[in-house]
Amino acid sequence: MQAELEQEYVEFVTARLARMQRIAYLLCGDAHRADDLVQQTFTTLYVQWRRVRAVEYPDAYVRTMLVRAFLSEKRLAWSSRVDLTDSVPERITPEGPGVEDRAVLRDALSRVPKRQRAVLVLRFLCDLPVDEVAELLGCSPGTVKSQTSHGLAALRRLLGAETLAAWDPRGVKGGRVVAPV
Amino acid sequence: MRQYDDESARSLLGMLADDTPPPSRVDIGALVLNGRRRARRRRLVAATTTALVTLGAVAAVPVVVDLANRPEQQRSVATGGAAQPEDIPLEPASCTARELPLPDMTVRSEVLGGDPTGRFLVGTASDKRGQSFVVRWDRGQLTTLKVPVERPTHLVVNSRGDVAGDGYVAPAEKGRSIAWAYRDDTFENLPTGGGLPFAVVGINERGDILGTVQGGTLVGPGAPVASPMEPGAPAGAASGDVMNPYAAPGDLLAAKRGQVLGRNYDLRQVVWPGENPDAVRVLAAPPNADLVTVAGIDDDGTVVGRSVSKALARVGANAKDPLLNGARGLVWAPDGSVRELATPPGYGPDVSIESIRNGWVIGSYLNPTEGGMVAGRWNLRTGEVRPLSLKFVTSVNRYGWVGGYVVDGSGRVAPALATDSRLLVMPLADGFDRNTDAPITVVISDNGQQIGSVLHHVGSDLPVAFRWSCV
Repeated sequence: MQAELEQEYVEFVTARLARMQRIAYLLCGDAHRADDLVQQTFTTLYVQWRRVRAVEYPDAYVRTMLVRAFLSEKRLAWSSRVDLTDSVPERITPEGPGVEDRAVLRDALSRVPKRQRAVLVLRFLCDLPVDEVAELLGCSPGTVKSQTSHGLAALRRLLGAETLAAWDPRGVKGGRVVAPV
Repeated sequence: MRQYDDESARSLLGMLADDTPPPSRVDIGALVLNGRRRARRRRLVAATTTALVTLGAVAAVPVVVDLANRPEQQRSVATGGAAQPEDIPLEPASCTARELPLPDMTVRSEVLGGDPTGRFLVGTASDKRGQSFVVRWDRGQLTTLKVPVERPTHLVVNSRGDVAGDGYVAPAEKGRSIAWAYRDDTFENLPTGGGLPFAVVGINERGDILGTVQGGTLVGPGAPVASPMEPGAPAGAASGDVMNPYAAPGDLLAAKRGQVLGRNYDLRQVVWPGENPDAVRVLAAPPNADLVTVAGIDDDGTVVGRSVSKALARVGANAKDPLLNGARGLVWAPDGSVRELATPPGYGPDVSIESIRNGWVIGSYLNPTEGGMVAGRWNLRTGEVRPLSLKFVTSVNRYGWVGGYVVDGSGRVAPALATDSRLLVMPLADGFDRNTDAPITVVISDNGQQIGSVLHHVGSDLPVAFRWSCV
C-alpha cells in the first residue's frame, strides 16, 4: 500500500477504534474477544482499504464488517490469533452504582442467540433504525422486528422474573440517553 | 406488541448505554503490520494460483508445499555473522509524535540514547537553575535516575535498562568528569586507572561499555605508555599537554580547536566488560594515529571509531570539515585486531564513524568533488558501502535502518529515519517546530517503530525530548 493510503487508513482507524471496540464489546460481552474481533475487522479493512475508502459510507461499511465477523465468529481461528500488543493494560476496577447489575445484564445478553443479540445491540445500544439493521444483517425489516421480540424474550428469560422485579422499582425502565455509536 | 417490545428493550438495555469497555489492547501499529502481511500473503497466493494454472495439476502439489514453507518475508539477513537468517520487520511508513514526560520545572530536555527493543530511552532534563538530571523513560514512563552526575554528553542504555554515561560529579562547577554505569538500580563508577574519563559512548546487550579515558595507567596492546599520574592531577600532565579537566566530555576537538594536530593526546579506548567492569580492556591504537576516538560497540564486541593523523592530512583538502582532514574509519574485531574501513571508488579518503549495530556501521565519507562529507552505511559482512539521504547519522538498528537528521530549506534540523527504500522525516507536534541547531541525537529501535529525539517549542531555541511511534 502506498504511504499516503496507509496514512489515510491509520487516521481512519484511529478515529473509529474506540467506537468499534464498544460495539464489539457489547456484542461479545468480553473485552478480549472484542479486541480480537476489532483486530480481525481492521486487518481485513487494511487489505480492502483502497476499495472501502471509495464507498459512500465507509463507517457503515466497517460496522457491517465487524458485525458479520461477529456472526461468523466460529469460523475464526481464535487459537492461532496474533497478540498485537506487547503489554496488557491494567484492567479497570468496576466502580460506582449499578456495576453489579450491569455485569448481570451483560452476562445475560452474552447468552442471547447471536443474531438476536446483534439486533438488540444495534437497535437499542447503537441506536440504528430498523431498516439500517436489516440492511446490515442482510435480512428484511420484518425479520429484524421479530428477532427483536425473540431476543428480548430470551433476555428476560435469562435474567429471571426475580431480577427484573428487583430492577423495576429502581427505575431501570426510566428513560436513559443512549450513547451514539 | 412490537411497540411495547421496543420500549421495554430500550429501557432494559439502556443500563448498558454508558457501560465503558476496558482499555483496548488493540495497537494500530500492529494492525498495519498484520494488514501488510495479509496483503502480501494474498498477492503470493494470487501469484501461485496463476502458476498452478500454468503448470497444470501435476505440478500443483509441490508448488503448494513450497508456498506453505515459504518464508513470509522476502529479504533476510544473517545475524551477528552467523548463518541463521531472520525475518525483517516491515518498514514503517508513518510516525506520530509524542512529547515525553519530564520532571517538574524542566526547561530543556533531550534524548541521548535508546535500547534496541525501543522500550527504553535515556536523556537529560535541566531546570531554570541549570541543574541537570539523568532521566530514563520505560515505555514512555519517566524515571529520574538517582545518579550524582551532571551535564553528561553521552548516555547509552541497553534492553536490560542498564545505563552508562559520562558527565561530571555534581556540583558541575567543581566536579571532575566521571565514567559511570547504573545497573540494577545501583550507581557505580567505572574504573579508569587514574585517568580522566573523556567519553562513554556505547553499551551492548552483554552490558559491555565503551569509552575513552585520557591518561592514567590503563595499558593495552599498542596503547601509549604514560607515566603514572598523581591522583587528582590533570590528565596529560605527564607529557606536558595540559588538558582542561572541566571541558565538556567528548568535546576534545572543540577544546583543541586552533591547536595543531600531532600532539600526543594520550587517549585510551577502553571496554568495561559487562560481566566484570574492573577487567578493563584497552584497545590497540593504530600506528601513527594522533587522535583516536571510539563511537560504538556491537553485541559481539566489535568496536568502531576513527583516527585522525597529521601525516594523512592533505593541504587544502576537506575545507568544509578540516578537523576530519586525515580521518579514517576503524573497526576493532572482537579479537582486538583493527582495520580501516574502505570508501566507495571516487570518494574519501576521509571517513568519520558514528555507530554500529549487527554488523552495520554508519558514518560519513568525503565527497572530494563537491566537498563535504556524505552520510553512508557500511555492511561489515559484505563490505558494501552505500550513501544515505540523511545529512548526519547518529544510530543504526539491527536491519541497517538509520536514524539521523535532515536539514530543510530554512536550515532547520528534522529528525528522520532512512530505511532501505524510503526516508521518513519525523512529523511535528502542535506547538513545536524543527530544531534550529545541530547536532541532535536520533535513536531508532530494532523494529523501526520507536524513534527518540528532540523538537523545539515554537519561538524557543530549547530542545524538548520527544518520541515517535511509527507504523
